[in-house]
Amino acid sequence: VDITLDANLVKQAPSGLAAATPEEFGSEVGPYLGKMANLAARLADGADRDDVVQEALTRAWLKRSEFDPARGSLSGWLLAITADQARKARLRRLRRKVPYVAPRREESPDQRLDVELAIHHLSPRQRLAVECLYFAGLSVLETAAVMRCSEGTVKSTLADARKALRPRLELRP
Amino acid sequence: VKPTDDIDQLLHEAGSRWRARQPAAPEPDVARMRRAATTISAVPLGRLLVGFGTAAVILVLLIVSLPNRGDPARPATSPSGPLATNAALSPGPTQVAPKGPLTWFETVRLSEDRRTVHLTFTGGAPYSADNPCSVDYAASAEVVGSVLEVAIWEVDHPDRAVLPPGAGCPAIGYARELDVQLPQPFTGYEVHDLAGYVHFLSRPDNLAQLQLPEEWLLRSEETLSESPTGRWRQTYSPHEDPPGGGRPGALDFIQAFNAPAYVEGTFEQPAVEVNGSAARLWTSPEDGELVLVWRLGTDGLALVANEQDFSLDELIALAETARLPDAIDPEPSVSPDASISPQPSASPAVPSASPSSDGLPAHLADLDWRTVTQPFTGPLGSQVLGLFRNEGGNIVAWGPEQEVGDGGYAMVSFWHSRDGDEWREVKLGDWGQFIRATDVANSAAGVVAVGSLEDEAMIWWSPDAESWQQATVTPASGWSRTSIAAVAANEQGFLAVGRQRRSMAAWFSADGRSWRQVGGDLGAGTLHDVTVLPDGRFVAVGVDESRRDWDAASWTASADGSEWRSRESNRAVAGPNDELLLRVWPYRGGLLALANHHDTEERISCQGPCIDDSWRLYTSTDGSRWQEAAEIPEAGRPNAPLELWEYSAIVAWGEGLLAVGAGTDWQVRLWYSADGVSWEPIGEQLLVNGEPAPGYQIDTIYALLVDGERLIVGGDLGDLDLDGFVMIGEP
Repeated sequence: VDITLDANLVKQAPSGLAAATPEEFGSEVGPYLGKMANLAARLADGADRDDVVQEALTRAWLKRSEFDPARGSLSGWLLAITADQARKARLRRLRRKVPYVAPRREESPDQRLDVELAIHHLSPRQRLAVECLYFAGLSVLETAAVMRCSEGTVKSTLADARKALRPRLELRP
Repeated sequence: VKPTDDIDQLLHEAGSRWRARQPAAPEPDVARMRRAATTISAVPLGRLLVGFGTAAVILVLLIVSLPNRGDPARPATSPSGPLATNAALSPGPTQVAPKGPLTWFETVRLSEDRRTVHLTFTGGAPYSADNPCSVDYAASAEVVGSVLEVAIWEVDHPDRAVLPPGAGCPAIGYARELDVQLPQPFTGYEVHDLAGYVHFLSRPDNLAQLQLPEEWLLRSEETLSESPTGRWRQTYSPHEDPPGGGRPGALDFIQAFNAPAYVEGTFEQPAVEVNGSAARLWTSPEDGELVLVWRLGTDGLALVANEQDFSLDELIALAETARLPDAIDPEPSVSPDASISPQPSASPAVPSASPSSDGLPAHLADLDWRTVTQPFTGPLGSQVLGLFRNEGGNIVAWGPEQEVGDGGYAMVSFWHSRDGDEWREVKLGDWGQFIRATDVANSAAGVVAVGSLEDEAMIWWSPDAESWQQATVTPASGWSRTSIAAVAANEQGFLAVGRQRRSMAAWFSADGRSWRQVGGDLGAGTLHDVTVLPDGRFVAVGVDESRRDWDAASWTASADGSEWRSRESNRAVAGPNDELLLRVWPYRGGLLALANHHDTEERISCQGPCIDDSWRLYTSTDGSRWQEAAEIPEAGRPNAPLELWEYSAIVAWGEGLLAVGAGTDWQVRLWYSADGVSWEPIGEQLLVNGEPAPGYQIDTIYALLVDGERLIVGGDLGDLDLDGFVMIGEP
């Protein structure tokens, strides 16, 4: 668990977010763009990552007056919106009338392990937790915001995921 | 054996490697945010007209006036081009049907004898045969009843020089003018631009009136351009030469007829009420501007004032004095040039438009819900996109089943059940095929599925959704470069709609097995959805791509699919931005349509139809004339209670509509609407598979079936594997 990232989440959004101009809003969300982009890339699954991020930012901008720092961090709020937009983008892509081209999976030939392949065998929630924390680089708290559950649930889900992955990721001589 | 304690480290390393390969995150697109705010809150230019004046209007015209698709000779426009007058007027005085893409005009005025119509607009360079970037325009004007209908269109000149490959026209716009002669003087005041706008030559009827303080007198008034239904602005001030609206000493009162006001300010404040109905208020600490927007009857009203002249309470109190003429006591008389006399005890002109749940049986709030996930989950991703009862009495769910991870093949599944708990799967297609179903229709003639097979459009027919056969189409080449988006059934047959090459297209079949193309040339664009009116006629909606900006398209077809009609112009859904009608639902004898709305520039940057979360709702009683449903609450707005998108599960129910979806609190609920606009939640949130839907998983319900007293919904669990489910709610 990345404690450093968790600590960053304590930072509260400025109370003036609701009154921010687009430029000010863009500055406020700047620190979280990397995670938003990573999350979009992991969850949108073939859709345009940057478009998902921009749509999420636009949606967040339109809904900025609804953000309440007392109810959660700015990054968690942004990432949850990003996840929702990523999901919509993915579904729209899946329903297009063109054949789906799966993104190239990561291979680890040096270790004879295929982590990406292995996580596809996890349960959906386990996989979501793994995607958020390990690949998108979210903290436990941010993953909890995306999954709309407690940090404890995230941790237990991750523990279950690692347990389920163990037989697939073990190297055998 | 690798130590199991290293699994965490292994995942971290894999994640780090993956992140290291990712490109840098994009910078926030501030312009996109601004456009979104504008497109949601303001029709074309409403706010700009209020706040920034004509220069900004022309600038926006520049943005939206981009070259025609596939026509390199079409120039973009800019505000700074040289003034040129196109004297090549339309041949003959009037009654000339437009013969090319329409161009909207900015101003219209009549000569003193009211027989010459003078139009100004922004267009391409004046026509010259040797200039491939020049554009010729013609115009027509026709008096229809009390209205003058005017059109400007581009004239096609086959002999015009052609740009060399790879070359483009400079992004320069030109101020253009056209005059049209009328055979008789036009004595009315209302001008309809067939490109989609209404202008007033003089003060229109049915203007609302305010009870202003005595010294605030009407100083000027004018039509506001770029309005689909017409807008009129009155400026009041204690000063003879007032500053612009929103500045100290000036008050703008804007009225949009049968449409939202499309005005907004800087920082929106919490919702307020005017005469008991929801209103919207903006402040601007920087300059003190106050903007209040509300509804009076079917009209949208707006006040643009300054806090140096009015407090928030005073502004709301002033708004509550607004009356439409037919609601005003005839005594004392009101002069348009004078302040309006107080009418202290007058009541609101119209009752509150607050949502009502009349006619909603209480039992829907108390349904017991259970989730069924088998056989909808499994190694392949699946979703339940539709539900119906077939002629055999089975509940049938349908949706895609696909390998989303690596194979890229897909099939369509039909799951049959007698009770909703036990389901049996029938596949349409074989392993390894790539089949998509975009819609399914069910009638006494059987079940029709439309979609694609290996990227080619296809229609399948089945007597019972058990065994399927491919349908045939006339002519045999009928599926070339075709996509089929939707299908509907009435007593005479099925109508499928979509796109063929670059045009809207439709096919009809009496039996579902043999199809023929119908409708003739429906114009450039795509039909996205189709439904059936109570009298059996079809209504198809989509997007009309025949103009620079894409407008909503709406066609009505006879019950046998043979006769097609569309209004030449549908002002409520036209405008300089793109408006895509994606879904249509019938209810209470009328129709509700969901439109995706975005900036034309954004669409062009997407090189195709961008679909984002800017939504508008339209209603129609006949499928021909559409009216924007309401400004508050509007789909996609921050204060809209029910999130809507193109896959929302909505069905006609009783006198209104029933929906299943997530609200802005991200909780999935049942919703009811009497009018398609105001949605009320019913009962507590639905626990999908026994759990609250996580934030990541909102908008995962696509199908809703009213089955007697119980409801059945279908969707997917919102997870990465696309596992489907149905939920059954019973009393």
